[in-house]
Amino acid sequence: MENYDVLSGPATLIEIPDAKNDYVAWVTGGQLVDLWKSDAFVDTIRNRFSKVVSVSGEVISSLRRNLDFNGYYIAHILDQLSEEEFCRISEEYEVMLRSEETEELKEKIKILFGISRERFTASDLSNIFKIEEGVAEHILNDLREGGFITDSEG
Amino acid sequence: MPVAFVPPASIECRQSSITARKINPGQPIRNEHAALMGRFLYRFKLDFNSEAYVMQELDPKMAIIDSRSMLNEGDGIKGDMISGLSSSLMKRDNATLVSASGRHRASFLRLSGFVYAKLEKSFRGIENKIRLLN
Repeated sequence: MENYDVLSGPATLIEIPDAKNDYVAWVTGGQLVDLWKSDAFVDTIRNRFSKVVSVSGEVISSLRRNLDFNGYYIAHILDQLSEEEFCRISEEYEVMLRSEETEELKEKIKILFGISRERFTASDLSNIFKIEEGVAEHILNDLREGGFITDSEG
Repeated sequence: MPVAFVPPASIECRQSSITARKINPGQPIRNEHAALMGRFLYRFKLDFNSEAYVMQELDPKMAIIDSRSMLNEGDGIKGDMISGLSSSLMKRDNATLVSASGRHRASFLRLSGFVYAKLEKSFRGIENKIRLLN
């Protein structure tokens, strides 16, 4: 390894014996933090990105259904829909709540907090991810204790 | 007739009066509690100066969703945000506008059947005070 002056600080030239592959290096403050084979790097990014896309899709469709249902609710309050009609519509919109807390669920909630600056409460998360409020509350407490979110966020 | 201002606090009753400046209805849910009622439960969320009181007690007087829930007539919760479940729908006939402060009015609603309301966020002043104390 040799040191070079690049831009304002020293950089490190890394010699890699296996020159057949392309590499992506993460260098901070002139120091090598991590090194990936470029295909592994692309896979990591793709993996992370697909999770974000999947969570976004789930959130959007959940909010869209909620919005739709609220439209019917307003129609019912304004007496445009009878109670029987509204109950029939409610059946189409009813959701089964899951009560198991999984790592996947926790990951999804972390992603949601990562991509949005909204303050999601336990009832919001319960609504979006179709889970019991107790489960959402438990995950929020975990994230708070782990310092992932602050009190002002969730 | 205690009134709770800090979570965790909830009420469960047969009839409840709720007041808020912003009311969000939510999708109906089906879970083990809804199964006990024999039908789905409707979510609701109250925002801005929300309160919910027990008007009629459960019969038998036993908590269904949270064993810590307050069950006595007159018990209530007050705060910035309240979420809950109700077996009945909100109706215009059951709503009246009340004066909430000198400048503001709020909806006063009666919900019957089974009602569960949980204090989700205290008033900001109380929340800030608690944060300072911690």
